[in-house]
Amino acid sequence: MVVDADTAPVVLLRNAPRSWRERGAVRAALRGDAAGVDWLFREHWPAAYRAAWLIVRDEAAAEDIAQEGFLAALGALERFDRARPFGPWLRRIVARRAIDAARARAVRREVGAEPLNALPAREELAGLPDDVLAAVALLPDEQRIPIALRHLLGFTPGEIAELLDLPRGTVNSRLRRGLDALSEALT
Amino acid sequence: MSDLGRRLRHARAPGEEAAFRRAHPLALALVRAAPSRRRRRRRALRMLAPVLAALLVAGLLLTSAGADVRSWISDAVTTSKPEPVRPQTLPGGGRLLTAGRDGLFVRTAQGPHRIFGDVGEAAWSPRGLFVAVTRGIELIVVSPRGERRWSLHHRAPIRHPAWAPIGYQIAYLSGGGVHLVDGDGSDDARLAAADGAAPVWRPARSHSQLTYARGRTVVLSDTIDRRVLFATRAARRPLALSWSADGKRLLVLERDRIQLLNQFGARLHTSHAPAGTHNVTGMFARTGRDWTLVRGQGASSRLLLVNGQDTVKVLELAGRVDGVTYSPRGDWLALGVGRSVWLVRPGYHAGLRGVHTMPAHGRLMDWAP
Repeated sequence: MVVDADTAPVVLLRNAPRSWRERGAVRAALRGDAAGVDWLFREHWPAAYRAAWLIVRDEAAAEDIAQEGFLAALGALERFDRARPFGPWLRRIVARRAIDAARARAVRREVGAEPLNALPAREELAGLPDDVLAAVALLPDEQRIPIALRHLLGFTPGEIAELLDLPRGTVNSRLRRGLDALSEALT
Repeated sequence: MSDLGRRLRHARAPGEEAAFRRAHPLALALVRAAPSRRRRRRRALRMLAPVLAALLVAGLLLTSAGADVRSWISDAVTTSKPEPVRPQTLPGGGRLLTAGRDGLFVRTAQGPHRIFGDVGEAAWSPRGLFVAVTRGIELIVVSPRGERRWSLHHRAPIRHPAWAPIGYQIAYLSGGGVHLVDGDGSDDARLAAADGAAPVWRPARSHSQLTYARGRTVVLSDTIDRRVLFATRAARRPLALSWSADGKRLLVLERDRIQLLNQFGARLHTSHAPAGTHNVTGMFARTGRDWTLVRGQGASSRLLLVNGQDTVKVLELAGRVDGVTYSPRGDWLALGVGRSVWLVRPGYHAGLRGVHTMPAHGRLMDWAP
């Protein structure tokens, strides 16, 4: 049977390599096929939410950022270069939004104490079921955000420097200090 | 991939599963709302234009929370001393309804008239032929001259009566549910569980879709076949709901944030209230997609006019706002502030164009032709 790759439903590609399935899902999403969107969502939304949460540490804000990032990516799918993987593209959108939200919160913190109430208490973070996630969440912003960008989202130090508008050496030293703090917390 | 990366990719963040359950149907609803690429090709620009417009609007609205906060706080403040309205006039025309312990008052260009006794809330029928009022456990429909036409009662207090856009039915809340009754008082029936914010009718072609809140969930139901068209979770219990005139945007107002949903319940935009302030009420204008927001800060209130993504804080009021409604033509806005009604003429691009005040005779309710 000859299957037209441009019209094949995503389910037909179940046994194909992941990158093929992703391209199939992007093509399906472009056709307006909900199965394609469903595949992309299930594959990429959880990491997007997790990254957003690690950056802002606020469930409601993380949900907004992941959802708005995903919807923005879907809305701009026509412009997406299909030769490249969808995941890193979505992660970049989400990372930018999460960093903007974290910066805005830092600005608001100077204005009043109210937003701080929305942040989880240290004891709540320490009580997370996953010890690694808890340890990362407890790091200060300047170490936690580069760690999340590097190790969860897979950005290179150069890309992180660009996203955070920092010199590359500063990113490297913050990553190093963060990893040292993690290793101390987890041993 | 590093071991740390593997561990982080497999760990579940707090709230992740619940957020996934909420976000997944919305993403699918969005794609169902958009026509496919092939169909778009065939239908060319005729189909492409509205989709592009929708994406453009979404693109404009989908800004980060941080950008929102900065844009909300505008320096363009126009604090004006209101000019008292002469007793025999009503800027904006029509008939303004206020209600309270002193009775139900209709104010026209001839001045205020008390038409009925002590009531809780009141709402005009769409063409202003009748008024639905609540009095404890009673729902009463009266004529504009105060003649009682019919009434019904429940075991629990009745709140938030809302006439359907074609006047055929009245929706109201009572006993943890949203009820519907025909405009002549017949066929009173419970539609679904609901509480909190006042139900609002969607101004869609069929005029049969009703939005209400159930706990933290915003629900759009078809009142004819009782189908739930969408159910979207909010972070907190909604205080107010309002549809844009074209029925394509729903404003969901929570105490500390605002969400703008599309007609499928997908979240397009979220904005958080700045520190020290809280949302009080808000509503779309009678035409277009401009909307108005009232925020409280201590004992004062701020009126914000929103045009697309541009927000202008236009009025700082010494007092708490307890109601907001547009004039029938949509060119004036009435604000209930304590014992008075402030009438403002909103210019969504240029701040306010006039501020007047007059005695309220109770709380501000509604404004009819």
